[in-house]
Amino acid sequence: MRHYLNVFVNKFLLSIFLLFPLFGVAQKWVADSIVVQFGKPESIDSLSFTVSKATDHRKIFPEFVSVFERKKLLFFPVDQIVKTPKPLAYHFEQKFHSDSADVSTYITNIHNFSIKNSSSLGKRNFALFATIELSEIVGDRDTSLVGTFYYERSFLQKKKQDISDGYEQLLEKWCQQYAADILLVEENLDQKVPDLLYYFRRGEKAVNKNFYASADFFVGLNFWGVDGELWFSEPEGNRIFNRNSRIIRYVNHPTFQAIAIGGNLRHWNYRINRNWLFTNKMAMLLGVNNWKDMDTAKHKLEEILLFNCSMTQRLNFNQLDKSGFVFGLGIMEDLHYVIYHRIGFNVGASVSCAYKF
Amino acid sequence: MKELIIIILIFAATFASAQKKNFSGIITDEKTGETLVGATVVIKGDYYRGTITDGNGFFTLPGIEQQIIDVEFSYIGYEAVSKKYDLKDKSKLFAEVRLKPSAVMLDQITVVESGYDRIGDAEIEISQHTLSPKSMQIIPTARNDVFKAMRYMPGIEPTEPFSPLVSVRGGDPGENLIMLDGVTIYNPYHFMSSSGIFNMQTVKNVDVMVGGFGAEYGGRNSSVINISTKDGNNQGVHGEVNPSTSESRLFLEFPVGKKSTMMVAGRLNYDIMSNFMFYSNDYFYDLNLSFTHRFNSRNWLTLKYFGSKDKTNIDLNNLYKYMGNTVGMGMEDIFNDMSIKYVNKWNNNIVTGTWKSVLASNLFVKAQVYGSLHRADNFSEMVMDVETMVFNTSTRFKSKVNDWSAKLDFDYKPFAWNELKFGVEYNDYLFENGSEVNRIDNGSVKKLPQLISVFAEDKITLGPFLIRPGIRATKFENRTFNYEPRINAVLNVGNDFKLQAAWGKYYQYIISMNTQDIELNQFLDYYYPLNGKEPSLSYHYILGAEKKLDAQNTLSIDVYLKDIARTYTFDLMQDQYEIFALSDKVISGKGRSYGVELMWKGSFDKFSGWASYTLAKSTRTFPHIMNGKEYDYDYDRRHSLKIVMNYQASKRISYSGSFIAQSGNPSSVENAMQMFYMYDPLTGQMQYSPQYTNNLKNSVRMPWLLHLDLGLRKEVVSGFGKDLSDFFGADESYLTVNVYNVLFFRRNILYYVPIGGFDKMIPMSDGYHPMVSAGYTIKF
Repeated sequence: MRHYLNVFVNKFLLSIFLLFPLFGVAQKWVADSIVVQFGKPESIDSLSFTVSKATDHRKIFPEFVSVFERKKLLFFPVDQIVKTPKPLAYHFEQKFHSDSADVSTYITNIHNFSIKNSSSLGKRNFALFATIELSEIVGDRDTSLVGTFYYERSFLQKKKQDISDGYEQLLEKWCQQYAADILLVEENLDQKVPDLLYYFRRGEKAVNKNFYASADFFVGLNFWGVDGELWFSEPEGNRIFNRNSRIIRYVNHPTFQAIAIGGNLRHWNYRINRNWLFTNKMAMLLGVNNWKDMDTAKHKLEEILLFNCSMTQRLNFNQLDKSGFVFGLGIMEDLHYVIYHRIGFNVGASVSCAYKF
Repeated sequence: MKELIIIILIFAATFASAQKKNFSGIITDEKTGETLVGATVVIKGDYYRGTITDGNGFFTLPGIEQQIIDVEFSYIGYEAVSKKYDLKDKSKLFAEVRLKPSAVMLDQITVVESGYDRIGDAEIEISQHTLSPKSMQIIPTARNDVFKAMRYMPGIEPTEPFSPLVSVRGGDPGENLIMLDGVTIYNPYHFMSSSGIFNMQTVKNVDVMVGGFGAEYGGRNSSVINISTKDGNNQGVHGEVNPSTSESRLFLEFPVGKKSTMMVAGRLNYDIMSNFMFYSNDYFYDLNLSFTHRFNSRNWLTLKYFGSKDKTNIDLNNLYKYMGNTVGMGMEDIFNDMSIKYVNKWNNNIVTGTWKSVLASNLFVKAQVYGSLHRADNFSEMVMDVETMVFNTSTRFKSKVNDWSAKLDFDYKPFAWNELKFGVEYNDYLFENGSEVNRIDNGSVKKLPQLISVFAEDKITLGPFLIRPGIRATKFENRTFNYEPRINAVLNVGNDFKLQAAWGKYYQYIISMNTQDIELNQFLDYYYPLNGKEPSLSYHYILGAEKKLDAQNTLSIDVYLKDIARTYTFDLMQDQYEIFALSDKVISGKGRSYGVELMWKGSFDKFSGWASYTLAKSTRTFPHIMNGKEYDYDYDRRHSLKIVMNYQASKRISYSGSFIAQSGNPSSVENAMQMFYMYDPLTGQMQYSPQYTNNLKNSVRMPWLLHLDLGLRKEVVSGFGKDLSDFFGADESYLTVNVYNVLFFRRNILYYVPIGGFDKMIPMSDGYHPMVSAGYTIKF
């Protein structure tokens, strides 16, 4: 009895001691947020327009700019929220304000404004996504829709530099760009996409992110399979753009079949025209095998794992800014490895069918 | 006869009603339309004119002399409302009040509810616990399961880590009355996840009374567990989606026309990876349907269906082949020639119709009819090829339960100081149990008993003193009535301190067979009606005290003695070919459970949760076990410390942890084994059955068990999860991450497996490594 009690006391106290420091600092760990200025504090010089009213339509708190994950104590993943001191709409009104009364007056509807932050090899990569509708105030009350801007801007920063500076520099750069873009739109009233700005759709209201649900079938000489994919795609702000998807793959080889999953499959896209899109899909997947020759071959436990890498080049019928079915045709290259087996390489044809919501 | 006189006196006293006014009503959630149970109603300026809503959201304040009353309605988490009623106007005698969820309270961090019970009576019930979905969600191991969550309450212990069965205050798992919206449900468990069949998205509350429960409930000796489900939202379409790689759940509630609501929920569990890799074919699903129609504010009808099905076909042969080939060293053949197979089919189907009506301002009636059907077919087999001979041992247990029931309950409040409850219930049962051992069919036994139950209880308030005498009369088959008198009392000492006491006599006519000795892991109760035998009988003696430390914190203590005057066991191992089906060989014995339970629940700073300590002992005596010598019961846990804590680090993120430290359970560790072999000329296989030889029952106590699980819940603000919730127009989406078995370095020993002619014992644990799981939820 005494022994059990000692065991209990020791273990219990150990756990309490282990946990309490965590609780003590947990507030700091998880509630870290970085407040960044919306570019430089002052208005943009010599603006020839004023944003008199900005409305934030995002489904998140109004100061939100970005969120990214940071490892604390090298292990614990913690979310870091990046936000502006005041609501984003307020900053829009302050930043894009001209002291002159004799300028055009606009209102903006912010449908999306977020910065993604990822790091690799000593560099920090920021990507700003924004969907902003612009309307001009005509007369006292009436408004006239000018169009919608879709931004997808990248910015590289050295990892050693202060992250707040990176955000602020990107925001300031974007503000300058946005002011210049509005000026350009004002000065070139008759220009159409893509001659003026690829990321501006004149006279069109903002469209939402597209949700894709896709099934890709592929078949080669001695293998076949199907990919199920889901992803969200921001409205296109560039001719060349990348999107990531979630994938589950079933593949059937002569001696085994496998199910593999991947959480960050990359689609590299090139917009040929309003109807056609070229895509290169790169997948790194981890799967499990089901051996067909289990009774005859002496497979070991580690042979359950499948490492799969593949690429697919495809031409898609995919209309810009429109929902509906998407079809594609292309070729697929598949590379797979199972422990104790030779690396396998296959080439096949790929047919894709997706629905863009 | 004495009991009948008591009933007559109670009725005579209460029906002598005065000509004062009765004010009654129903309180609902403004946002969802769900009735609020345990909401407070107080006539301002009159301390004693207060009450709380019952399990149907209904309240009555009888004997009011004033013409105009100012009433305050309040409930934790909701904005209090004050209203004036002129009782000269008869239409004002019944109020329909809707409370609005409080914006401030929504952000409040506490996960501990107010503590009102949803069954029984909040003011007088003893040894009662309530678990809300919110509090269950913080327990990492129980985020999706009622039965796993219950294990963190004092007095409720799992029979085995992998089994969903629980023992309450040293009782048998079959002594728990488990109800779904008042319908008795048999074996509400899923096989693969060792969890309950109730989809947490549909659960409104779980209420547990671990002893001393009133005359309204009967038929079981240990506890009453009621799971109440949602009726549907009358304010719009709302729901929840939880996709995952192993289980997906969907929940929807919506209005149908102006007077009706509906709730639809389903869960499908599939283990794609195991099925794919090891050729096992397992799944389970459950489905909840609820339709409520309100004819008017005083009458409503609810129709509910609940169905669940488990299909398990686990064949470990492929896994063994992988393991043999991996280990090598000549083990390939041994592993290749081994096979363990489980083939299980379980299902539950429940249909129920409930009519609730406010017949008069002080009379509430509830009529319910239901059918509760359960089927189970469990087959397990172990096969080994040794040279030219195949050794095979297998068991198959089949169980069938039909329970068709009708019941009528009245709640009558003639005076402010007096509340009378009475009712009647009729059950028509079918129990059929069958078995095969080593593929030899032992046949089955079918029994068709009926049970009639009548109850009455009267709650009398005398200033700070409350007393509730009650009686339950039951008639099983064609026998005479058995009477079960019960009494509960509470003394409000003042200063938010109250003393409680309860005494009761409890009969049980349907017991559960304990097959732990011959099944690898007992997941089910095989119900067996005591036809032609005296019912199982126990007496509860409970003393308690409860002190509200402040608005958030409560400290309570319960001291209990459960005198088990008559209980039964099955001598399953007396003859290997006569087990189970010929199980009329039940043996009568007696037992005793006693203990003390100390509990704190509440919140401070950003912490909220509860902690409890139990010191208990449970024993049994049977004439055929150790010549009638008393032994510690199988589920006896001497010490048990349980802590559940939530830390709301920020509005978006919360951490939670659950910790259990408890004594190991008593066990009969074998030091020898006798094997019976039989050659089957039809199959050419050798059938064998192990027979244990230790004649000391539960002579060894297993080491202490320690469990620590940690959880994280955070709102999703970016990425695929956020996009998905925006796409569905969700109100909220969040991610949960759980780490189980954090203290894995301290291995919990469940049992010892003998090897090498019993020279050595290998300790087996319930987990050798920590496990991590993650889930994603969209709420709209």
